[in-house]
Amino acid sequence: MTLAQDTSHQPAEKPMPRNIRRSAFVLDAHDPQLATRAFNSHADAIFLNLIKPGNPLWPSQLTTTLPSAIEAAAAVGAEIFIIIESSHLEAQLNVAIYSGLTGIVLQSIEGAQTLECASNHLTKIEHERGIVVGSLEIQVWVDNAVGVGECLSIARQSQRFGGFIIDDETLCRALGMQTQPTLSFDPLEYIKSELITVATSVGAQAMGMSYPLGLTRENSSPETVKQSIKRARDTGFKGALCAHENWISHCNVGFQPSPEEVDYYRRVIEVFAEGIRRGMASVPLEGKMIDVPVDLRAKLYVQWAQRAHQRDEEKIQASNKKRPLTA
Amino acid sequence: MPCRRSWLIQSVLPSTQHQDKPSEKADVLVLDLEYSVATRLKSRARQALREQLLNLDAIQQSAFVRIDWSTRWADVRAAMYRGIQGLVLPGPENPEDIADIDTLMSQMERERGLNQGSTQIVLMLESARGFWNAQSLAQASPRVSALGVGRIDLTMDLKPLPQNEFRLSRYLMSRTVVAARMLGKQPLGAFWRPGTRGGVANPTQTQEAAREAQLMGYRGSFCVNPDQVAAINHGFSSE
Amino acid sequence: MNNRVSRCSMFVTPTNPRFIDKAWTRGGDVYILDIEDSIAPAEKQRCRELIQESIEKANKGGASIYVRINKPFVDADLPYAVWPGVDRIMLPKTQTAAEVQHAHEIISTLEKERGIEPGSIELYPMIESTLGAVNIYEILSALPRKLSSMGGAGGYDMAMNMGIEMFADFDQYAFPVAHVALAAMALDIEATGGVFVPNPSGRVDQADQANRQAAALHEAGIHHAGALHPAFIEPLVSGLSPTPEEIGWAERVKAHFECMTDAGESVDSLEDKIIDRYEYQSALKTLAWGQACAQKDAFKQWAKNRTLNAPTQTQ
Repeated sequence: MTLAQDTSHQPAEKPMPRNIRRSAFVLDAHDPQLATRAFNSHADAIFLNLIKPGNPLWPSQLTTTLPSAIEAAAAVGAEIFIIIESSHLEAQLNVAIYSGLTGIVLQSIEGAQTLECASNHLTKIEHERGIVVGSLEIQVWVDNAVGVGECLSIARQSQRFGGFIIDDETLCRALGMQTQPTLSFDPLEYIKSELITVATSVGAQAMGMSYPLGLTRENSSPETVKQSIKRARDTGFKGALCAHENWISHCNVGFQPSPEEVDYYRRVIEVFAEGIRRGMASVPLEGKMIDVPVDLRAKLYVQWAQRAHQRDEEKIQASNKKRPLTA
Repeated sequence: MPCRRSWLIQSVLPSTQHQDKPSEKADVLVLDLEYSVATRLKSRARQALREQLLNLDAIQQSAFVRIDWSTRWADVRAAMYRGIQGLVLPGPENPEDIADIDTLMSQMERERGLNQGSTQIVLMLESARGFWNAQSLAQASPRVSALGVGRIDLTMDLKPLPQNEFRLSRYLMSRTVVAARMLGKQPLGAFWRPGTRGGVANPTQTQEAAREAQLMGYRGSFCVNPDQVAAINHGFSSE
Repeated sequence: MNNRVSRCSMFVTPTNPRFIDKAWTRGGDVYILDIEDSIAPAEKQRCRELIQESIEKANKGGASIYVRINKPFVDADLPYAVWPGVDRIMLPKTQTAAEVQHAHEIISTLEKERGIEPGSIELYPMIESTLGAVNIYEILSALPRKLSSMGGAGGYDMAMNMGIEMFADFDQYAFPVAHVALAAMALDIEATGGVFVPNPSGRVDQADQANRQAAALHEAGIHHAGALHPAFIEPLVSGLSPTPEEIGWAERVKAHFECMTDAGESVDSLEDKIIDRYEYQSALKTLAWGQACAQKDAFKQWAKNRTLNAPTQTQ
């Protein structure tokens, strides 16, 4: 008898999710306490808010403080994104892009063309400033109806597209929905599911929180936050925009396979490998059938957990290397 | 834009069944040439329309006319008279059809001395194709002022789910509100639960359907019974 | 016989005599001969070679036969899957219109070569990924061959693609399921699936779960379901047929509406319910479905008797 091909080591699929980005936290780039706040947050990603054109300090403050702000925020091992308003697209990109950034988060998108403009402009800036061309990522903060209605063309517009960010309160308000969680269901349920589906279909991912916590943005009990994260993960979110610093550590733990799940998946992989050696296509385990897709999924999830663990290690190492300047 | 929460659909022809007056005035009266008019009475209904529109204009009640899709050309001609604010088009599917109706409306406005482009179109989506094309339908004419979710449980034969809602209803409402908000149209619809659909819902059920729809982003709804008017107004007023 | 009646389509493994030989006795409307995920890589070729004789075995009780092929081996599988007696080819993990088009072309050639009426074999793109879900309209409008569709929900592939745990106690696939269903309806293509029934245990062999599923599908007006375990067959076949009460009501509605129409009325009431053209249409659908189910059941009974009374039983 010939042995079935041994495919037990490497999943055939691309890593999933594309990025370990379980928590994002918004900080002001001009905040004097930025370094400390970034250091204390432990967020996987930090979104930096810029002062807007029209502010008396624009752009002088940005050019003097932004490079060090990026450096300070990045020193804790977080990915740094700059929040860019679509209405100030070029002006903000011109002053905000430095090496060390992972990318930008686009707000108030007016359609796929906004992403195209941003992408083209980034290419130009990358050339000028010696940044690897195409390396800067674009995430879209879905805060209006166009962002939902044209999400597929937005996601397909550019290789730079990295994902959708959903914050329930802003989106509900933009759609004329109530921002009190009085409904027995999430008014954004289908919209969140669509954004997750569309982002995933292009190999990107979506960040968001489940109802009602996503809407109330409360500093709830750890138990409530954990349950909400579990539900968000069960719908396909790969992380959340944290309304409170207290959410961050829970997100960093919750948006990845749990240790129990990883144990189970390791057993799945073992049992299936053994079955394959004996020429079987499917093997029972605890009342469920383990076959090729189940096995493949188990491998991807184990790999996901390993990557999340590595990400935590990176962050610890970065933090150890560089204590915050103003701590 | 005037406040248009309740859209009371009433037969153009005086009915022997619903004689009760609404306890509250509907924000919009929709004179119906469609569902509530039997086929054999259609031409009589068309004839009665002009006078009714004039009467309503005199008492300053906003009046729309719901046409029958299968007889739309005759119905549009019958409806475009002084006093009309707009047409309610049930069950649209193709943007080209809306553009054609727009053209006819412009012609009627010219012929009958109505303000050019003043007569609005309200789309009442009632089929899968219509919902699929929601965005392009809403963009098909600048006259489109509102995008509504019609009698989907009936027209699309959507049956109840264990979650006490009609199959696909939340997706269709979600899709419609996004298209409406994106294009600046008023979203119309109520979140009817199984057993309470449109015409058979009592005031309490109606108010709840309106309230839930309001939370879902909607700003008004059709109704067919006068006693639903107050419930709809109330449901869409609570912030 | 009506091939469209598939209240329960049950997967069977052609390589396992225990399943394939007995399948016809279980009373399913449809048996799906699987060359895909229930077959080990080393067994694929043996399985392909068994398909033609498996058709004969599985339809002895009057069931329709579908074949599920492998997405990576469409070219290799189809010559073993397209035979007289096969009603539908299931194309798993479909993601693009081009995949459907490709399968369609091969099937068309094989139909011609094997004396099968051109275009008579249905193609069934299975939507098991987010990419398939967002491309559904293009997939379903890709070709003239008769299509039906399902998916967007559950399954290992979809869960893996979305990176989620399965068997949560709420509907994890709100958008993909609804989107696939809407696209199919917009294109007048029959879509299956689409009702969420919690199954946190993830077990596929329990009759009470089958009853719950059948009741929910029946209530939601959905006529088709798949099964992985024979325990699901009877609950689904009986649960998805119209009840005598439903048939009776539909007949009364039909008669009443036709009287109304003669009298020039469009809306009336009967037994405290509003009777109008929608209620009438719904009644006609119930009656048509009832008739189709009755025909299918009669055919299955006839086929079963014929098999039981055949003078020379095949082993």
